[in-house]
Amino acid sequence: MNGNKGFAIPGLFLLFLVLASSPGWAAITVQCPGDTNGDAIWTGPEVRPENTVCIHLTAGDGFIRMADGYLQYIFGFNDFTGTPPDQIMDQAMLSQQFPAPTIKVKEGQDVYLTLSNVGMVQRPDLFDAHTVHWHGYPFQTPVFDGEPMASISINMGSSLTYYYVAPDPGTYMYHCHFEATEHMQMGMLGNLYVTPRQDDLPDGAVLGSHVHHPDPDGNGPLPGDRYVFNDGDGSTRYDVDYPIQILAFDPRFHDASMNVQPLPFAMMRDTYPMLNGRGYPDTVSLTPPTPPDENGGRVSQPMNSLITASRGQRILLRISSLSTVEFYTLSSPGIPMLVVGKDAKQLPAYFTTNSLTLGGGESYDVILDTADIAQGTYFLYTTNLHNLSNYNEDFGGMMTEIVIN
Amino acid sequence: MRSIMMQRFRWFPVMAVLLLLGASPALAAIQGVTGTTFNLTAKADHISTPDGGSIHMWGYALNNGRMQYPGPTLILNQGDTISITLTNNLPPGAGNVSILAPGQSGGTATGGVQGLITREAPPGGSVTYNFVAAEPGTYAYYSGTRPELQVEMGLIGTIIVRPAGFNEASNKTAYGHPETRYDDEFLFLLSEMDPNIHELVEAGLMNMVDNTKYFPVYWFINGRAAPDTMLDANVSFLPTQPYNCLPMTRPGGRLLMRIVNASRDLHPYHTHGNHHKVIAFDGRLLESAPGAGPDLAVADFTTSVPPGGTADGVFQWYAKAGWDIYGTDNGHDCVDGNGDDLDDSTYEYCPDHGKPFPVDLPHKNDTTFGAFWGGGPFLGTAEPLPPGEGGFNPNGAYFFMWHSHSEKELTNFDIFPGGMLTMMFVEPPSPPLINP
Amino acid sequence: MRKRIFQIILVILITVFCLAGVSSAAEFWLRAGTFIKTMPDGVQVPMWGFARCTANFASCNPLRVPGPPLIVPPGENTLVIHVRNNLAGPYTEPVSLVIPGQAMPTDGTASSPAPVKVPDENGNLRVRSLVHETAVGSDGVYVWNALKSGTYLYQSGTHQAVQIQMGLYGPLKMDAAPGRAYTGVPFDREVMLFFSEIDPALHTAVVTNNYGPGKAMTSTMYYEPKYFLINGEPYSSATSAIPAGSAGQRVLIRFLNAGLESHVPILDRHYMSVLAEDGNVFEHPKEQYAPLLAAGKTLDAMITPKAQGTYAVYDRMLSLTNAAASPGGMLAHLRIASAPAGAASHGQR
Repeated sequence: MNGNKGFAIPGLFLLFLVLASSPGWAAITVQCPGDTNGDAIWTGPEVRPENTVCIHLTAGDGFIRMADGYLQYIFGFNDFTGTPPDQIMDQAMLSQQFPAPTIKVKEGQDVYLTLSNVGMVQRPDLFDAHTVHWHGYPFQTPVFDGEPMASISINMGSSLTYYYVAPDPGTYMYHCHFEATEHMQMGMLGNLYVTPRQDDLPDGAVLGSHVHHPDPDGNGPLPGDRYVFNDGDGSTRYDVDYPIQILAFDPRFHDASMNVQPLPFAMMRDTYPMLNGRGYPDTVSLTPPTPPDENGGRVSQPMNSLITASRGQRILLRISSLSTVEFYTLSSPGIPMLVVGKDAKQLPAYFTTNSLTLGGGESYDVILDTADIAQGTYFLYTTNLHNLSNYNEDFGGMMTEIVIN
Repeated sequence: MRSIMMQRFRWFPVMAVLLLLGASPALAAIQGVTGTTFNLTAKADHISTPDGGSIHMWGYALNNGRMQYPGPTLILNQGDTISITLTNNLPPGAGNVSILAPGQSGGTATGGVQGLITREAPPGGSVTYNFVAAEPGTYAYYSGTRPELQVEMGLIGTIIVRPAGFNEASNKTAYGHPETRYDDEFLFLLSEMDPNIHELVEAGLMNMVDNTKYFPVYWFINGRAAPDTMLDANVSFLPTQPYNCLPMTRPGGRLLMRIVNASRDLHPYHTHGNHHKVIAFDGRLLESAPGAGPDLAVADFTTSVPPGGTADGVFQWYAKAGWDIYGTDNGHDCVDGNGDDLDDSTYEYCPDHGKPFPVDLPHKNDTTFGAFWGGGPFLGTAEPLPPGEGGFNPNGAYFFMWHSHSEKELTNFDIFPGGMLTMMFVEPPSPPLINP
Repeated sequence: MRKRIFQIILVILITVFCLAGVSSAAEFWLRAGTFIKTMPDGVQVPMWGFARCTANFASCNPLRVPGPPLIVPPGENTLVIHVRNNLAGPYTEPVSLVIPGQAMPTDGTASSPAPVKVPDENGNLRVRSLVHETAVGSDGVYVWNALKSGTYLYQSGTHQAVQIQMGLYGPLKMDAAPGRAYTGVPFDREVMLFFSEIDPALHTAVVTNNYGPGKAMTSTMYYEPKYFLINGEPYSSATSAIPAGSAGQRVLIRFLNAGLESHVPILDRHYMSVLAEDGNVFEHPKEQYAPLLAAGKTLDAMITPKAQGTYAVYDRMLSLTNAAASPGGMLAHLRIASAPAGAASHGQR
């Protein structure tokens, strides 16, 4: 571990040299209508077109800290929307986060996502391209699907802009699909949500036995008037929502990557099971794990998994898995799960259960109705109980808490 | 890291995709054998894996031909009484062998000896299974003798039952109900392998196998690991692996996925391009009442079929991209006669007609191209690529990867890419438009 | 005379009502202890298990894994289970009891469950028990209200990664009414198929005090079960078939999985109508022959066998060995008797 910090600094110089000497085409370029200075936001005289969202994601490498303190090298994404393009390489290199930043857009919005490949500082020998695969988006075309064998991927030092009209609402996910086994195991994984038009109905709109009330300040719907789908009857209404993304790492794979060793694909075995990028008890910590020195001390695991609600509220859990090896069963003893959606589709028949089993690439929308639940602390965790471990550390792993006030 | 598959593909002369130049209307059918009486022989042989592996297998052979992996797909008609006679030609020491056909009705067995689950064919002997193919659907079959070993060794296969009134030309449904109609059907039989077990068996050390240490490093669709999934069926250099997996469709076409999980593990099977509507599990329609049709169908982007079970999914593709996927400089029309917002023949989404491509694609020097990239974003338009790039998509089709989303399973014993992966493609609806 | 009869009737009625008041709560006594289980291949595995005791632990049955079936009479609203922690040996832990699928229990006085957290070496609190604990050598009481009918697992809620593997689990059921598992779900016969696993390496490490921080085994991450059991026994030639009703009867199969991995129970030549999971009835039952029985899950499935015979039920995820020996593992047989003469058939399947 300590011997490899030495890679970072020469690697940075090498990367700068490569890019400084590159011809005029290799450049970080943001495409965002109405944005003239390339920072993907509209300031000053810049005019934002109606119903348009611009995002600037970087792809590269970084470091995180596991719940037992172990340093882990990752590949990942970060969100640099708002940063001028000439500062991207400098700021984004080695800064990637795990999981990747959540993308949340509204049904029907025009979404321009620029992906900039900032290279792998720890691995100057790698020239990997990257993509964003919009996992589950219906009615896809290959050019923006981000699956490299059928499409295009973006090389180091350059940018590719994806365009979508945000589709049917639901819980999707995104990840890099370039050399998928490697890049996904290394951590290029994130949440992607589309919220329904139903959220923006006018005040007083009748949905079955529910009457819709938006935020009177016009900032969007109040808690209590948000829905997973355009259900037409308010049955997917929720008060608070939480991402629960199942992820897991194989530390030997990450260490081999960091140490420029052959990657153990066949022997891949995940021993750091996580939710939203952390193992218990970091899952319930409101402060991130101590940022590693190796990435300049920047926070790289910003997401916790602590679920809090007032008794009586309906909690939406957007459960997804981007595990590359195993299936996991998640259970919430004491609080029944009402399953209203799978794979970003409203179920024709909802069902109640106490646990769901997910493999990589699946998602479920679960509503926990706390009306009949006594106040207290409950737990959401895997019933594959050996995964309540942070590698060799007990009392950890794939667990979080549900606090009902 | 340079993709090994891209290098390997350069040297494969035979690719099913090249046959598309002048493709016939019926894009493909599921390979199998039809009838009511079948003779299968259990015997040993080898299969090939794309990393150069040669693995000792036990499988079902049709009549007394060469073993195949998976066993022959039996295509039956609803209501028929079926008789399968299994003869045991497995190597000495292998023991008995048998067939279980879950989901079939009125099963009886004669001959052979009674095993722990079903009647079995002793070494050199035979057993006959009789059942009625009472219900249409997709089903698995596999050995019921020491299944943890024999399923692993390759004794697996598929049974398809056509509904009463099925007609390939005029009445192509999976379950009889019009909502189960399809244009093309493809089999996705999923399996996996731990080669240590096969080496022990081949060395005559079957009783040293420890099932509790099972650790697969190969994954297959229809008996082949990627990229062999995308070769032709019946290629001469894969004589014991006759089936391929290369699904294809046209915009608006209804593609029936018959997913059979013949392995022991769960595999999350993911379709890029669109959701697929799961209409049945285990050969039973997801319906609220008999005759209702698949009104309880769920559209998945990833389906995990329990081991031994099956699922039928209907995949239909068209695009709602926010730009005209056929381009804006070739004068094509979008004619929506029936008011569903889609062109009646090309399934173009008419609200997007004429909308320009919304972004500039990066300079070619900044781009890594996929082998199946047509050179440009428009369906039916193949655009020039730098020398050595692409080459597997001369018609400007749209390719989408269909694969296990447990990404570890996209490898062939430590080599990426491989495993449980194939490419589905959407053929352009009209003769290809080559951009000069 | 009429007044006397009336008085007698009144006394009887009052007595009946009082007794009804006493029995509106089901009450059980369970003892947790350490014992040895011998596998068919002769390997002896130390276990932690439950035993059913009479009121106030006056006398107890032998310890067993899975624990004793708790059958709650139909229509009960409250369940009270007394737990005595008799774990013994060089390494012991507090225990507790939870029933996933029911509410979380309290001790009967609190209004909320009281999980127990302990600090780690950095002072961060980590949960050890999902509810209040019962220390070694003491008794605890666990109370559930608003009980739901169905098929459930009871299990320790303490250090579950270790204690559930060690054997602290068992089945519990409550019918909606006699012969009726849930409202609208009548049955003629019922069969329980309880799936579990054993990793003997963990058991040995635990009872010899070699599990824990700084010891030979520090976490359960490298779980590798060697034994796979249905109703507490791996398959062996000594395993006898389970009676499962007669042809034409509605036979309810209650599946429970206390293992840490999924299993897929296939019943040879039978479709199952899976109608509930974790005690929740589906709006539409699922016709399956390969249902997924995930870790910690219960499923209720109805079959209506057409023909008498002995039918194998086996795990299609192929946990079918006793360590390396075959046959073994999750294989069992159901024996269906021929239809009783003159019995009405309850529909075809």
